[in-house]
Amino acid sequence: MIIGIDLGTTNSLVAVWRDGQAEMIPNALGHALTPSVVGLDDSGAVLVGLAARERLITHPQLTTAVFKRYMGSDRQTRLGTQLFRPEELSALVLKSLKADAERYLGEAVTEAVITVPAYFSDAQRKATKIAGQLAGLKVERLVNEPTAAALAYGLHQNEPESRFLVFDLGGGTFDISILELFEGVMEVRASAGDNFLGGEDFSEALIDGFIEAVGKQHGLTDKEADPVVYQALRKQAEQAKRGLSGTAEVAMELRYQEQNLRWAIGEEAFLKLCEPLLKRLREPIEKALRDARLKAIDLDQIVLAGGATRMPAVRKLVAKLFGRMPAMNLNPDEVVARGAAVMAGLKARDETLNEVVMTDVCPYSQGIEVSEQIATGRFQPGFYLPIIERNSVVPISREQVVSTIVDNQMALHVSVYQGESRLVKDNIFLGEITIPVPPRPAGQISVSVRFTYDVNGLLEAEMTVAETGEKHRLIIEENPGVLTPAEIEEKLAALAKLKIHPRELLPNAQLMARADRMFQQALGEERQWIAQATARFQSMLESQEETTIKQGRDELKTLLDQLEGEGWL
Amino acid sequence: MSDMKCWDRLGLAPTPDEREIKRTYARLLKATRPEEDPEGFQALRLAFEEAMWQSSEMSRTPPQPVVPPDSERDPREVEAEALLRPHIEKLAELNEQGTEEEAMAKLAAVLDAFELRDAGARDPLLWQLFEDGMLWVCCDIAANHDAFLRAGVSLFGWMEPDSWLRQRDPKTVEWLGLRLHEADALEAVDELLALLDEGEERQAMVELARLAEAEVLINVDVRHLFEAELMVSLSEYDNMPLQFAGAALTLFGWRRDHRHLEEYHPDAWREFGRKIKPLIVF
Repeated sequence: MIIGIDLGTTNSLVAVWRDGQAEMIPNALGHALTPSVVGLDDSGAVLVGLAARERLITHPQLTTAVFKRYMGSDRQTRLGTQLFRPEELSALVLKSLKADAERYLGEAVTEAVITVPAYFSDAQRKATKIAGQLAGLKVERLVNEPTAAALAYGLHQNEPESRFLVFDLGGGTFDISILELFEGVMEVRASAGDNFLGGEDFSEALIDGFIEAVGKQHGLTDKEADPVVYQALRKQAEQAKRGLSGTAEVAMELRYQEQNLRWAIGEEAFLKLCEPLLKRLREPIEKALRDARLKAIDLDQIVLAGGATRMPAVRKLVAKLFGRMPAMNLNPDEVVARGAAVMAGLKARDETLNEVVMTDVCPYSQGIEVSEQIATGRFQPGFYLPIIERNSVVPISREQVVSTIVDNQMALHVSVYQGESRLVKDNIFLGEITIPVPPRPAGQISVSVRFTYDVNGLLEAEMTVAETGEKHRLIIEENPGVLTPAEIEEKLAALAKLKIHPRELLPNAQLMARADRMFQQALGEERQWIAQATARFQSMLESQEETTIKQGRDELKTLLDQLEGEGWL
Repeated sequence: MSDMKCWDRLGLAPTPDEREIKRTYARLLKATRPEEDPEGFQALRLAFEEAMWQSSEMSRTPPQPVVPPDSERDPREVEAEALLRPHIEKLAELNEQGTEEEAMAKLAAVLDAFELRDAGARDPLLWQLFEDGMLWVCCDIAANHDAFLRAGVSLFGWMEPDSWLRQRDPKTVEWLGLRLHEADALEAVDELLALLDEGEERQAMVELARLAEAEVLINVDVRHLFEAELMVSLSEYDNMPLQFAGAALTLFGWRRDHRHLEEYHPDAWREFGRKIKPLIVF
């Protein structure tokens, strides 16, 4: 069975295609959403999900989140004494989802379809594939997130022909895709996006607003100086974000150096605070519409995906941008995972999907650096020659011919870039290769450069020297953001040594972590109640009797829910 | 792919019927999936794109609307329609070729001539036929005046939340809503040009900066039209207000992406580019 995974910035989900529909797979706590948070518990075992998220506040040195933003880079995160790369942290999340799927399906799972932001670069896609490999999953296919969302929506469409736009604002990334549906074909017409815009940025804006409004006058100027304070603020911001709608105000509260800081904010002030973020939503929309040669009025539906589209401010803006209300008949948190399950079903050639085919596009252009003649015999390097144009349907293979510019030139240097700028310095460098050529007068040696871009969004370049017929392939892996095969082996061994917190004990760990976090945040009487209830639960845990433990768990959960309302998933 | 090859690959005779091409492509695609047969898929895709392009170049006759023959209709309706028709056609003509004043005067004249102003006293059948005609003038002809469109919308309440049109044809209401917003945006262009003509370039720039953030230009289609019309108007200046043009370039990101302007009016865009040369090099 191939599973479909939405590996998100804030939350991750796993789903499967079974009996002609997408089925969400619950984690050990019975939730569809597993927070993309990784930490070490007090014994050094790995904790993933809600339990780890609770410990972001109580054990910030041992816990980390939002690492998807660093995929494709070599930035390391320290947990206790160990360093982790973003692929490894993602692998730990994937491992946890894999275990949930295996428990749910009752069989071993080794293959997965994983979604990535449409705007993920080559290095980020490779890092995602490697994360799968490190988690013991063969990544059968990487699917663009908005395409997955569209697949999930498309299957629910009754209209045989329609055009729609998927507005996917997740925790950390923003993607736009425009699709056309006809005769069972889901055709992506264009994608555009912003890799650094998501719900997390709205939380940060609220935290900054809090610091500005009440923090500074109480000596709180640097939000990240104290990780405990920072995580407590993040949680408050997360809650405020969801409540902000209409005229009602919401409050953010913080216990800081023996003082209770409180800041109330209304929708209008929030919109003002987020204006720079909301403005950034426009450009990708315009770009995608222009690439698809469509007007907004030509679209039959605007579809929302991604948890951040729950924010009323975002929905209102979408309605204004497009002059109509967006559709939201699927849960925006789950829609990408559901689409990943559809893709897994397609990949497995499930017969209920025989009449469905999906075609996707490459979201950005890819090309090489060339020199341009600026005067007779004078060349200037640094210009960009696109070989595959953005929003071409994939897979695609395209070729351009370049020639030598100097007499008796001995070698030709090929640098590969992605991006849309005229000068390579403004585009993203992917890799390079130097190929030897026979010495001849300038312009007499030509080399054809062929780019092949596959359905997973990975690029291959092949150079053929016309004179000699010699072929060279550029493997774009020598990038500091991408692990080499040897390093992957090394990381696999390191991960195998890690102790993982037992899955069946996760509900207890999560509850204890939550109680610890609440103890830290509470005051006076409340604090006493939590301490007593926690001690009681601790002793019940030691009894090792399942019924006693379950009873203790229910008691403690009831108390905590009474104190702060049901969780914040 | 040469002229006929794409049709061979699709197994189709050349046709302007895009639906038929799509249907055939969809059928072949299910047997040539991109992930299973990348090469086969690329050849199929190329053929499909070429065929779609060729079909768009072929001349097409638009489908004729089906109207029941007069013999099957209520004779009173046929008679009333014959009475109204020349007036509706005149309204259409004035919208497409006449001035706004002429069109509005004619509208007033028709309302008076057929005694349609008083909701309690007017003939319901005549009113209904008049509404059908007005809807045609407001939605289906090549161009209409903004004031005329606003008058139609307010006369018949098409944009009201519970209008019959909204229930039966929400897409048309959506389209009308867009047209009304576009009318507001075009008015804003005129006001900017008036400021420029008065030599108030500074103030025009302040106003432009305000508009860039204003509610009236939030909708992506409206903003698109506003930018395009502004560019066309600017391209007509003999003495380009350079600072203002520079502000437009920056506020609306024309340096980054100007495909919509180029497509809207290629000649005007070229002219605009020539006139702002002193400002930047594209």
